[in-house]
Amino acid sequence: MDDFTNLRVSPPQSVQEALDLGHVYHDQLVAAMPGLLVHRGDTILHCSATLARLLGYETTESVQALPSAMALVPEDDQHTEKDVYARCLKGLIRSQVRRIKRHRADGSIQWFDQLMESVDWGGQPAVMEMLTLMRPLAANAELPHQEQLLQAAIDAMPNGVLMLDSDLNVEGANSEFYRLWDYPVGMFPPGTAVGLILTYNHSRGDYGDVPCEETVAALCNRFRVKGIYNSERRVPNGRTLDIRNAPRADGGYVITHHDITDRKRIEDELRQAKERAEAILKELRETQRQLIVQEKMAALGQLTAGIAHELKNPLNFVNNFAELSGELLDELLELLEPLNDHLDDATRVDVNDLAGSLQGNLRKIADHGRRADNIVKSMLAHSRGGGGEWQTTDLNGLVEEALTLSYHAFRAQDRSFNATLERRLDAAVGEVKLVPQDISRVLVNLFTNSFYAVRKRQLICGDSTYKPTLMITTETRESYVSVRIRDNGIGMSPAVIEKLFTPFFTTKPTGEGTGLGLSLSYDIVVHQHRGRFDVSSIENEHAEFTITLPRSVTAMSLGERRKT
Amino acid sequence: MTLGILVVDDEPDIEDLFRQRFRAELRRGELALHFASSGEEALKSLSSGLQPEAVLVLSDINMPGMSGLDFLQHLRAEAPHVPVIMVTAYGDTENRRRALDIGATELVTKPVDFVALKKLVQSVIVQKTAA
Repeated sequence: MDDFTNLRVSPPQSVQEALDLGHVYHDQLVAAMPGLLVHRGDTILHCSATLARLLGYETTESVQALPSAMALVPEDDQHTEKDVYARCLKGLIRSQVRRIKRHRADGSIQWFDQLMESVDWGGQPAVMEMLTLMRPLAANAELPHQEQLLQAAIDAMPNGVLMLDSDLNVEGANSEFYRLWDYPVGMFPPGTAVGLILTYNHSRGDYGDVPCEETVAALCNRFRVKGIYNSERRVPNGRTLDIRNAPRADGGYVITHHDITDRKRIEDELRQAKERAEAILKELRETQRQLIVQEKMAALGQLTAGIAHELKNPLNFVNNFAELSGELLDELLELLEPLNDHLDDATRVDVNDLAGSLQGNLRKIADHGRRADNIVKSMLAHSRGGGGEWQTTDLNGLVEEALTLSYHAFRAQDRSFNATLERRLDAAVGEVKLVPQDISRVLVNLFTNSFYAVRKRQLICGDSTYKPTLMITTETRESYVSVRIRDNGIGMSPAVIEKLFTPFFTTKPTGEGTGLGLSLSYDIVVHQHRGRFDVSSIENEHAEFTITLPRSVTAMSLGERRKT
Repeated sequence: MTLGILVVDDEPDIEDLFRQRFRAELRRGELALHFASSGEEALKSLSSGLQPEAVLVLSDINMPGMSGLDFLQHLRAEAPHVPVIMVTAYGDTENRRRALDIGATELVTKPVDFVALKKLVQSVIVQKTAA
């Protein structure tokens, strides 16, 4: 097969036969050439016998049986070769020789010099690689034996080596250096200024869009610094190199290129793992904090309810006896009426005065008793069990209803109050399973607070252009729905937000608020509905309350958790 | 005719409260109030015979010792015809259902609305007088 010149060939009888003969000759010629590999995508279309032999395979068929041409390419070169093959298929051919590595059948590495062309194979473009065993460069062939040995030694090194003289001219380089940088073989013979190599790097875009002269000058200067020249760089083959500069005694430099891609990858993986672990830890801490808050709230709620129960009975007596005493006093005064005539004027004035004070005091006891009674009732709401029922409810409807109710109730107390209500209700929210009574209570509470905040800001600032505004947004996200209420009222300081859900905490003047509204709302949203309650605010700018409810939740009654 | 009412509650001040609230009826001699501070005491005084006989019993539910519901059960067995009104601080459906199941005539929640209670007592008085 190799010696095809001696093959006996019968003369062709037709044009077709002549063409066939031409093909045979072509095939024979191709088979005898230095290693030849034709492939397209994952398919190896042709492998010459010479190449099979150079790669240590018995037959060309065993090369063609490989899954793809990439199987021959060592892992650290895959990135570049894929790129180069793709460019070649598009017809972008580089006329220079590339120095490359290929796997032999036994897994060892063989260096080649490679030429590449785009050829037409069966009507479609294919990549034709011509591979020759790496030859000594013409410039190196002239070297004395000792230096040839030295060249062979540095060629065998696994790192890229570039040697420069004291004027930064190339003295020599090894194959790995050419491969790492994908430099055409023979382009930079000894004596080439390193600045020229760097200029070539710039011309092919290695440094990005930076001015050429300044960049090259700056990089040249760094070669003169002992130790690290450019500790890390990504090179065209997609690898990361650690480039170091070792000055020689004679004033020259040895520049070594260590491939640290794998180390970098491991470092990156470790860093990512660490970041993930830290993120999880942070999340855990946050969850723990929330749990503590929840527990605290639950304990406070329990305490609150307990106190309320204990207070209820004595308070009933206070209220009852206060009322009775009033009645009894009236009866007493009626009985004493006839005696008034027997009293002198001064005494009568004193008696009437005292009786008036007594009646006044009893009225006060009754008033404050009623106030205390209202507080106790709110407190008991915390522990009320099984009051409301879980129902599939149109959330937007519930929001609308609560908004109207709160607005009218607020306006009933303060006729001059008006607010802009911006509704952004997403129809996709639809129906949600919840306890409508309780959620409505939460919403009314939040709306009323918002009205209070905008009204207060309006009264304080006295600015006639200030427009009290509430923005009500409903949203649906996967398995959650949320209601966001934002007002442009007086807002809250971080210190206030911190204590917001604590029972009895209120910013309203004594007697105006029980401090139980938000505490109860929190209980309803977080404990009963397994939802979230988020608050954000900037003082005198806005306050925003967001309640997030799961679409489906195991029905729980308020206070149920506490019974355990 | 004087009708006896038995009030069962562990709070001693209940006596003053009821006596003052019903002072007009007591003064007119329409009512006589008996008090017991526990279910046990109430059962004892009922069986020993109260004068005048109690035609209505008002009982708290939450009491130390025998609970109001236990007392109700005993009373139903011994005197099935005496109407019993249960008084509770917890207006929950569970207590209401249990009390009515056992045979309470009515269930009122604390704080007791005396206006309503008086009407209730009046209606019992009217029934008894008619009988």
